[in-house]
Amino acid sequence: MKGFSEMGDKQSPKTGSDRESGPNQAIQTGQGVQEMAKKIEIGMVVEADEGDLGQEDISEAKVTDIVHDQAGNVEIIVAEKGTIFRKQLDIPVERIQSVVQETGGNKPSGSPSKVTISASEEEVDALTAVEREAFPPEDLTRRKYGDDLLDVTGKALPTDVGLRRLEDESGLDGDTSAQRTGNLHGTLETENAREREGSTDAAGGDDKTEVFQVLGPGLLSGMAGNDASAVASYSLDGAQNGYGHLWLMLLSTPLLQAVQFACAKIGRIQQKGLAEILRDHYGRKVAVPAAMLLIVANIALIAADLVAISTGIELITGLWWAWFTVPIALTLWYLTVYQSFDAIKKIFLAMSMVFVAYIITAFFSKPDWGAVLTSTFVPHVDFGFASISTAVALLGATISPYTIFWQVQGEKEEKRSGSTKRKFRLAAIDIAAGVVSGNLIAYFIIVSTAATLFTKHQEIHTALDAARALEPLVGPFAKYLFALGLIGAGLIAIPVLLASASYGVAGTIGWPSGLSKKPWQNEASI
Amino acid sequence: MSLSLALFGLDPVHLMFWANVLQGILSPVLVVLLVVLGNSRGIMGKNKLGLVTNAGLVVAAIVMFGASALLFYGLASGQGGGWQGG
Repeated sequence: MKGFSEMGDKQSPKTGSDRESGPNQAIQTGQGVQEMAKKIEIGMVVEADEGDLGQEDISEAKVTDIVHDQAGNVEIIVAEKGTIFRKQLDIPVERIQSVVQETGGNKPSGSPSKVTISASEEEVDALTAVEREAFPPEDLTRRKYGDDLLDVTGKALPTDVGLRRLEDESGLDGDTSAQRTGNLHGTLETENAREREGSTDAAGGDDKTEVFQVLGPGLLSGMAGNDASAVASYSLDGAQNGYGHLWLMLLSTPLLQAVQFACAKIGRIQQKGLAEILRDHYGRKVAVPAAMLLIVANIALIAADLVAISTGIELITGLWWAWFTVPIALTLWYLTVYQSFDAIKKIFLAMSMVFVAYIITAFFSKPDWGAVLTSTFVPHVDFGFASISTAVALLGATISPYTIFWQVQGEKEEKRSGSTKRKFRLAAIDIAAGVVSGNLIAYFIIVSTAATLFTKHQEIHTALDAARALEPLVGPFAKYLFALGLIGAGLIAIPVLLASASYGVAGTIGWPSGLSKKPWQNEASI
Repeated sequence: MSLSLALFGLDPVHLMFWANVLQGILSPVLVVLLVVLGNSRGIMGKNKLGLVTNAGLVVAAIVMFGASALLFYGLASGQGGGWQGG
């Protein structure tokens, strides 16, 4: 640390004289930066003026190296961020805006030395999760937004995208307009063209509602409701109570719709996560217990799903399931941290296809359809403990704390177009798709297990027993298909569970959160 | 995650099942919170929840609380010990 600053000091006489003799404006500003850059020491905190380098959480970006050019001037400072996710940034000297040296000496109350660099939010967001990366020299990379066009389109269209762009624009405008140079007009034009395209896309969404645009967080939470442990619970229920609880699935469908829609509405209006809303409006007395509740529920489910994946692997390999839990836990944690919301969405939908097997099996196993329909529409309550506990499990598998948190957050992050009313309608469709498909799958899991295991009076003690429900369809391959289902459902659910727990914690404490943040931006909230 | 290590002793299917029972017991608390949030003018402005949604939420909370209450009654009256499912 000392060595570098001393090196800088040795050069100061020379640069000092340069500055006095050189009346040239450009050199003088360059020297000004150099003056500042010389004050930079290793260990200083690096902050961006606009983008979030992660200042708000515990691991701040710090200067780890200072690179000098041949003349001895500071060229690049190297900053490192994160403790687990090491992220290195090469920052060219032009980007340095100010250097503040420690004021309070060694006193703990003194503000720490820090370097402020100019970097926009887009640039910070564009950085990769790990690796070493360089911020390009400033004046070539700053993204510019055309004001005139945006003023027209952005304001005319009250979309999230438009509003966000307006915010971006107003944030960027002040300090970038001064730095614009003539040769930038080319890029400016293309940017404008891109903006125009984006805007018309958003406008087009108003007219034709594309199915896949509407489907979003609602479908996801509906599908995530069928995590591996839920599949196990449905199978148990079918094997134990036969068709006896099918009416519960019918009942829970509109209830789940109501719950999810309320979540979506709240998330849409407040543009915050549930934990944040609770904290802001009712204080920590309400927010902390709610978050604790979520965490307890999620830890139980994560454990259950880890076990489910492991038993799935056990079914395939024949090795004891417990061997697999820890490696799976680590892999999944890694995936959750490094995958973005969109990637999870895709894995999600692909994995959901495994469930289709149950629907087909339900028909193959030739259930007594008369009995199925009767028990679907005629409620039958059995007060035996086994029946009640499976009923609670069924309801819990359908309406669970994490889907509530997830839905609020998902609706907050989902970009929908049109008026508020239209957004609610789109959300309702999205949710209905998830709720109906999710519960339909659950329904058929119960039907197929009831038709196979219950009628033969087989109880489920192990995953292998549960797999027998699929035998009418695939015979001896049932255990492999079931294993695949367990693994798939578990893989889908765990990232969602982890993420919703992190929303809960981050929102309660006040850290920035979201699946689209980079790990080093909210490392602490994982 | 480390908690899952502590739960190793349990039979996998049971563990998955009881994890869902726990969800069923805890969720109604959040459903009640949603009713409170969704009907607060301070939070929702003029977009408070509609009658149907409210009715759905209230029924969901009642059904889930009811089922949990029965479950606890069953546990308290000692039926839990004799339970053989799973």
